[in-house]
Amino acid sequence: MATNLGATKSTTTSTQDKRHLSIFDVPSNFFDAARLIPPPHSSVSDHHSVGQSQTLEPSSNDVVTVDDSHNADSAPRLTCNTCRTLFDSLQDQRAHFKSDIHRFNVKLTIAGKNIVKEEDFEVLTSEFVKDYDVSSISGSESDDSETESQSQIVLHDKSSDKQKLFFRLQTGQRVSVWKCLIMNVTENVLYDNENAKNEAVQKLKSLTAEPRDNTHLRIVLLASGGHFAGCVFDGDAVVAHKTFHRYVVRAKAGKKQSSKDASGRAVHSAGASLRRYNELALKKEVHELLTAWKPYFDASNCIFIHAPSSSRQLLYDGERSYFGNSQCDIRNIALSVRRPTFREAKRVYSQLTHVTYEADEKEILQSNQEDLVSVNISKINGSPTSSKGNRAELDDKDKSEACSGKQNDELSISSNGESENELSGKSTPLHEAAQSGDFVKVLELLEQGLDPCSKDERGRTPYMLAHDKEVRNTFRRFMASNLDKWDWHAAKVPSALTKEMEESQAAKQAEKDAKRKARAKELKKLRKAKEKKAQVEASLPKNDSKTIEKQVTSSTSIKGQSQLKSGVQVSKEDQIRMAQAAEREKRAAAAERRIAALKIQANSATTAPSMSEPKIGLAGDIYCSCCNSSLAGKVPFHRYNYKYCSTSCMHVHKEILDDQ
Amino acid sequence: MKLDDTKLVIWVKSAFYKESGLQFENNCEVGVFSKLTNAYCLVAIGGSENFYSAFESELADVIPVVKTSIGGTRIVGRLCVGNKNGLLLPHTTTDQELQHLRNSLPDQVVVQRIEERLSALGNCIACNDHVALTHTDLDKETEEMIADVLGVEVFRQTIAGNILVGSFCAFSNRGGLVHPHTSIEDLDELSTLLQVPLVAGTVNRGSEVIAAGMTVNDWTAFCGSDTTATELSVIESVFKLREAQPSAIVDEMRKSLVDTYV
Repeated sequence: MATNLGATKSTTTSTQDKRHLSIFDVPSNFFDAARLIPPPHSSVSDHHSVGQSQTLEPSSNDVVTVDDSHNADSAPRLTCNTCRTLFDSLQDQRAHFKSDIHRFNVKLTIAGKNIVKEEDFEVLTSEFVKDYDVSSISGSESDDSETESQSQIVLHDKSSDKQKLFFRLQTGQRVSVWKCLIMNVTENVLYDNENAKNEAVQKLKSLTAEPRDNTHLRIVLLASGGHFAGCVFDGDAVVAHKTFHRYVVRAKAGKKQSSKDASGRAVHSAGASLRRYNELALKKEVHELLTAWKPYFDASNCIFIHAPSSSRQLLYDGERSYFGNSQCDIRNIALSVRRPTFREAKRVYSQLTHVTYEADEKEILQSNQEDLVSVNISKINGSPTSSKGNRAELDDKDKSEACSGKQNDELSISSNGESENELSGKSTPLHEAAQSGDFVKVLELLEQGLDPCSKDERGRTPYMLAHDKEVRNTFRRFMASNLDKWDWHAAKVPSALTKEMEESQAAKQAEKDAKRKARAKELKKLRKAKEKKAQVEASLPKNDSKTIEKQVTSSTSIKGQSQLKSGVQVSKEDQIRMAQAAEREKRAAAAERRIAALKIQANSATTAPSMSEPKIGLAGDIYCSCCNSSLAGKVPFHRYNYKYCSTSCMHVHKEILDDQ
Repeated sequence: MKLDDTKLVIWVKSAFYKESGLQFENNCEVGVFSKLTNAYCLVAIGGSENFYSAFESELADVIPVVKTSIGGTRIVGRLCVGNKNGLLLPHTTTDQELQHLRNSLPDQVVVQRIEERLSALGNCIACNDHVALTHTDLDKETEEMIADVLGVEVFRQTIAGNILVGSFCAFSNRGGLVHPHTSIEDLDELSTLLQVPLVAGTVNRGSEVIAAGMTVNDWTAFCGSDTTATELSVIESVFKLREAQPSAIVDEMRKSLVDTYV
């Protein structure tokens, strides 16, 4: 199996070399006559850089030289039985047991497979890292997160155009490199300034011409969440690396302990004190490392840093960095960086130093159109306008198709992440437009001929993604006008929306609206009437009380006075008057009742046996117990023994009784 | 307590070393419930006092014996790995346990919790004070941590085709016992690599899981009560426990051995 793979791999690596170039691998005349060009303003992301983002460079630091001399001593057995090799010295043997090839062979042996010779291993690692990952997946970083972050990169890639510099080579090809490789990210590129452009090209040229003798080092420092990874590179080779991890981030709650402490109340739990201690310890460790690496820093001409928020304190003391070196540039990494590990540092560095072949602008536009028409067809048949890199990929694919099924799988996985998407469906611009609720765009895309039946990674058609009614209607309208163009059933669009339907719908809606309006009006009217009634009722007892008032206080002319006053004052006066009236009314009623009681007493005193007499007498000329108006000809309201002309009278009287 | 049947417990007393047949709640896998190094000894909490006191009485004068749990479990010996330089704990260890251990262990012992997917560190890593054998799937970062914290050289190897190197071998600075199916070539190679003499053998009446059946440092070994006399003698000789002191003491020990044989 190993040899089999080796053969196929070598073919792919040759094609891969063309697409994935490290800046240090390119010939020194690569950038001759290259011109800096502004980034393309197309929305299509570049597939090469997507695929490339997952490739990991083989670790070149761990490669061990094994001598095949057979002069081992008999007493100590300087061998590796797994890899079937002999060693000269204990150092050699020990180095071998730490190497990747040994680990890889051990894994193969356990899996019951044949071991790999060292010569083959070199070739294999570039491919194998994806299938048989030599280094294991670290702690929390699972395979899922790997694929997740991959898709993040895809998304990120669109915005990365700004972070990249594009060059046109003398061969006419377009290549891109990360901006932070040669200049600061924040630096503005003056595309209309010839000098600035030349300068950028010069910088690139000097990069490729650098001697690889540990005098032009590049250092990657990553620090976040208690993790620290530092790696010194000379060209593509790792010179030194170190990682630290300390428990500083509060479990579940997140954030570092120090930032939590800074926010106020200090916690005194076991975990809190551990984390405080660890933060200090980590800082100390990192400082010791940075001091130990002083020679590297002195020999370096660029330091790449990723230290978000409070992790920056690990590397900086205020403004001053702990690795102070005036002649080297310190640049922030403009990529999304995952948990700082040695692997991540290598990944970031290989990303940063990659030269990516871009599709040409015109080609992008054309292939863009073609992509829009049908992604699958253009991929399988090979569009004539696709770039060289694209063609290489297609060659690759053809080859892999010619091979057996198993290899085919492997190749398509390893060669490009995109080909996977083809198999399992992929999200089209139509999907995006539908999801974003942009019905104008949806219509536009549909008219351009995008397939509404195409499914995304999760098997959803664009229609299923549409949250907005207007977008769904757009689909249905389009369906009505192009009923035969697509299999609308497969597109999951339920029914067409014709003009007549819409009109009738609109009419119906209008009718409904009108009805609703009418009803609302009616309701309003009713409410108003009710309110009026209530007002009338409320004002009724007041009138009554006024009559009482007149009866009791014969000649006070408050009313007359108030009538003379102006409008605003009238209302105030009214309030006061009403309050007074109520008071008076109460008093009057009380007085009346006393009189009545006296009367009853007197009655009962004179005619004790005839208790019912006054009642009968009362019944003859009944008065309201409250306002004393006659109840003759009315149906009185009863409460206890009292009779009232109206309910409001009853309420007033009840209040008076309660007060007493 | 199940440990009333102390008749199974063999006491071999001496000034410097002890090999004792032990049981933890009727379980002979003492290596599971304890971790012995040259600088400290961890014993599972919640076991019988008898188990703890066996360690305590032997070691208390020389090294601290710490009762602890790891991640709330009692299988401390399988979950952690350590030597005189440091102690590595799995990510399941709680903050409280970590603090307890840091407080209880000597200052020069570095205690560190590591984020490794394979959390039974004791099964994945075997080490003495100078070298360590590890599981092939361990993280690069973990490997680095082992090298840093324990101050050892790290080799990835299998023992008789088993990747759980921590379970199938036990070695101190003086010698080691490995899985009985280890071939002579592998044995030679390993002993060259580790620079300690190795012997293939068993504990607990034929158990292949060496590290679970016993726990050892440079002058003491504790094995399960099922361990046969032959196994004991092999252990004694390969870990050089007998050489550690003059024969006079051994003679004296013999006497006391007779004393304690009930």
